[in-house]
Amino acid sequence: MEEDQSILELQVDETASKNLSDATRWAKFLSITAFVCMGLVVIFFIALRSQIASAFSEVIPGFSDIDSLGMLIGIIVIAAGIVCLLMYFLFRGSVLIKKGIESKNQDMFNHGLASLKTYFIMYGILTIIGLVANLVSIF
Amino acid sequence: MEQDIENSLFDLSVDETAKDHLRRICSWTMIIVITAVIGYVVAIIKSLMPKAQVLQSEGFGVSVSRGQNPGSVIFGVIFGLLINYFLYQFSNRTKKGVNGMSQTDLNAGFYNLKIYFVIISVMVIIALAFVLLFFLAVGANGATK
Repeated sequence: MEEDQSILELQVDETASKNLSDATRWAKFLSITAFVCMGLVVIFFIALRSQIASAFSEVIPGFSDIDSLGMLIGIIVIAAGIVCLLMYFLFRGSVLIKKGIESKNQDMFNHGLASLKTYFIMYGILTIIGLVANLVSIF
Repeated sequence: MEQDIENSLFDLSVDETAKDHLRRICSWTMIIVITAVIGYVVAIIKSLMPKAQVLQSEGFGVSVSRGQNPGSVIFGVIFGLLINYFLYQFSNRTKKGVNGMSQTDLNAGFYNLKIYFVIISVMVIIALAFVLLFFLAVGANGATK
């Protein structure tokens, strides 16, 4: 009975495995690149904080005080943290899906899909927030 | 034939848990696509709005740019639509595959997900190359002074 059901079920066949493996390879590359870039942005920002503060103070009067700079660094660190969390789920998803396909482990494959789902949920929420902010900026 | 059936027994299957995850992924990717398309319309409207406004601050006029260059907006919109087309295809075909038990649609969905990640990754590589070139140019400029 169970065998009959598994024949009728959708399979991760050779084509699906190849496409998913390729997708996860690129997703893994993307997530690692994002981790490195976020790290570099934070290091770059902290190292050049005085130059950045003077550049901002030319555009925004009264920016040069230490509170404004601290707030800006805080915003950058929080933004980098959010991006890293997003990319963590993409990285985890890609690793688990690939391992699941290679070892034909259903649990691992499903956990990978769960992580990919979390990534897309988070990405969707951030996109909606971005759109709302964009709409607000018009008015 | 027997070989195919034996192979399918040893393959990973898209069980109920996987189907549930895939359905949710499809729903959220569709939300992302719709939100992105609305965002592009907003970006085009913003680019057509008056360019700059002058903020008066204690006697000093500070020009603040409002809206982007229409050329860069159009480039961004075309690039964004291309990416989101593949995300839409992934969402649509995978949903069809999962709900209609169609292996062909499921495979096509995964293929579109692959293309989606490939395009983004290639664009990231190009962007990083430009950033590297920029820093090299700045470094070379500093060295000649």
